[in-house]
Amino acid sequence: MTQPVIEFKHVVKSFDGHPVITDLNLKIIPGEFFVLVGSSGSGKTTTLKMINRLLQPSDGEVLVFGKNVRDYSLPKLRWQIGYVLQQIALFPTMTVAKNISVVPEMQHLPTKQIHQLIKRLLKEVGLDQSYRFRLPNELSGGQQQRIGILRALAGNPAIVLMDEPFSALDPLARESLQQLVLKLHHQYHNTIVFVTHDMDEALRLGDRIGIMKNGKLLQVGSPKVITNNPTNQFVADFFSKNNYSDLNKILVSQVIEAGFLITPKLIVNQRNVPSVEKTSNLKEVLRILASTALVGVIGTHQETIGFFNNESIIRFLSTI
Amino acid sequence: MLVGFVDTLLNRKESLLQALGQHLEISFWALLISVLIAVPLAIWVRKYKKIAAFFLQITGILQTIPSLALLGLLIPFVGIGKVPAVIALVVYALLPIFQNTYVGLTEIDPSVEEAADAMGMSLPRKLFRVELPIAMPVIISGIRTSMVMIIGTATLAALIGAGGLGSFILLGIDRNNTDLILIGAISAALLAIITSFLIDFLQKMAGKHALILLSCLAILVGGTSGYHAITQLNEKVVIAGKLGAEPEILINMYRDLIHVQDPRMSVELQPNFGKTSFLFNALKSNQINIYPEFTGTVLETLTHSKTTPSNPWQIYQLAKQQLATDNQMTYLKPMKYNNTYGIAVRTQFAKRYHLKTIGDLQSIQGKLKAGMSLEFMDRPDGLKAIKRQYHVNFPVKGMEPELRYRAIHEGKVNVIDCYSTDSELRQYHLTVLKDDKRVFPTYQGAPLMKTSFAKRHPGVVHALNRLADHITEKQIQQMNYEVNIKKKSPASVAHHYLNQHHMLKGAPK
Repeated sequence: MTQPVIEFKHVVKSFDGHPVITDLNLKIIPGEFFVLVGSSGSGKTTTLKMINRLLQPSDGEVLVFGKNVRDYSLPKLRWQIGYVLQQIALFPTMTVAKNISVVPEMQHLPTKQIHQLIKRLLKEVGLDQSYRFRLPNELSGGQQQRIGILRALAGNPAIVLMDEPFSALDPLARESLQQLVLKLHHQYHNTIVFVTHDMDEALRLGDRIGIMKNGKLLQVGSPKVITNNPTNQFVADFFSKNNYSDLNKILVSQVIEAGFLITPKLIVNQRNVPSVEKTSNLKEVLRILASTALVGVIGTHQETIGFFNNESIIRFLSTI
Repeated sequence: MLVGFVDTLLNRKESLLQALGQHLEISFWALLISVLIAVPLAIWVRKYKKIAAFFLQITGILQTIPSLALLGLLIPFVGIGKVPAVIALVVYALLPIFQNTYVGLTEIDPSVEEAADAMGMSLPRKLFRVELPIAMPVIISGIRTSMVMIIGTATLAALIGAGGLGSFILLGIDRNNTDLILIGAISAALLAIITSFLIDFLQKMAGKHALILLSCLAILVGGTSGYHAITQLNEKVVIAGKLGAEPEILINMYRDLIHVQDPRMSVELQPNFGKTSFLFNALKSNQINIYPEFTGTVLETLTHSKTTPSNPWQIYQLAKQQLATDNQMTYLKPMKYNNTYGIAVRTQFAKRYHLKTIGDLQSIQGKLKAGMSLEFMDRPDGLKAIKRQYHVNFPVKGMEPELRYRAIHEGKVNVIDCYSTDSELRQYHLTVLKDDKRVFPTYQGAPLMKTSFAKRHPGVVHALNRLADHITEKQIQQMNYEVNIKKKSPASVAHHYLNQHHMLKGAPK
């Protein structure tokens, strides 16, 4: 087995004696896109910030490349860990080019090389070279976060941490930035730790997903494993945290209207699938999905108009 | 009015430039020092809320001390001149700069701070590359506020002999000359506006260029100050004078006489230096070496003598003796003229009624209408003494000193009080009535210096004693008239007098 890039060993973190993370154990493999998902207060951002030592664990060890983060000098640790923030937080007095070159300048990269680096990076995120001289407040939110990502990548870091980077953006910008992040990840093969509260985003981006609640990792696995074998506990936990308690008020027809019905053509084995009517509520669907992978939906003339599986329902729930 | 203003402006343009220079120099140092104190202090305390609150309190309290009181309080510690002026201005300017720097730095979006940390920036790098640039507009506006305040308050520096535009205002108040007050006030206001624009300009410039420009300014001002300081190290005689034309004429004569005696000696003049007590203190603390003082003033204000003899010679002797024993000072021999109170009437009026002495007024007291200054009416040795000693009585209106002359010129009154050397006496063709009963105390001018200085420079003593018993009241009136009304320079008037009286032809050995 390859050595993990990042490893949490019995990590505990408390603020003012109040525990936020209790006994966290996690290994993140080189080159993987790891998504930490959970509602606010679950401890996912705290976990992230312990990797680049913005926060120190109260107990236990955080290892990066097998070495305790405490044993690195701060610049050395942080220059190899890119960081993207939810608030974007570009340096407002610096131009786009200056923002991108913050880390390379500290690493004493020659000016000419920095110049070329900026040129290449801007091209990769689809921004014109004239953006170099713009100030952050002259850019849209989506453009700003593109630069935020470039700022994190400019030092060619092995690890990139992203703290809910797209949650403040509109759906359109979010979608295209998700594509961009996936593209850049394939291109650079760096290890990404991505924090989100959006299950849909987690399923779309992650190679592996870790579900956090109340400072504990409930489940770690690939999107497939998570969607197909969620513990009942997890489903109940994760969704009760959100405003999903009135699941019996949401009708199947509403889920169909939202576009989460899987058309019959995509499903190979349609026999022996339990089914619900369009007027049934979501609670009933979830109850059935807990024991089987697929639920059929029957139309007004008793024909099967489509199916739901765990993934489609979770995706729907994450949009509410 | 406007023509008069422009005339005054043109006539004084040299001294205005000098005052502007002094004003800028004081303001610049005060601003620079307060920035150098307040900005690092704010940077240091920004992480500690309680300490910051403490410093905000302190600087706030400092600012509530009235500036005049602060200047006065500083005199015992640092004397007079530019140093206490700069200290007082710094004390004033601290609050806005400190407060704005603190607010500017603490109000930075915490996520930007976090981004800087996460990029692995060192603390100094973060400060200079991220935090200070973000806080800069707020810091600059604090500096601007301080600077406008400094330039305004620096006008008070003239009170403690630091010069600057305030000397115009003080001189204007003293001579009741609105033009001078306006010149001082408008120049100070313009200076504030221009420097405010300059700060805006600097802010818009790229950081490097602004830094270069600022450094150039600092070197320029610093160099000038340094040059002054170095030249002052050489043995140099500093002669100062009180506010007004007359002292300025006298100190110009002093300089000329010293040059005749010893052409190599370097003499610096400090005209319009301040009021009596400032000059006296400056003399004590060796900031100046010589200034002309009146015999009557010595007894009344400086030595607080319990007795005042009536004979002028006895007054001088007593003043000289008291200064020597109490203050180790040497008081050289006085000039002839007596600058005291007088009673004046129009020359025509005097001729028509054959008026020569104050006593002559008695015969026409039914015809008299007097306009007099409030101080003269109030002083025990003023109007009250006149009425008692000369047995005269007439209706009196109290009015501002300058207004008296206009009132008598326009015939609204026909008797006024005056100083016996006022140039207006000549300007409005007035005659001073003889005080044959010697009601008014005697004020004769003579050079005052420390005894130690007099011993070191017998040549200077010798040169200045040549003025003893020279210059009559008529002559000094004439000279004041030429400076005040004809706008001749005090230096040329002084030179002309000495030349006419053959005092420039080398000292008799």
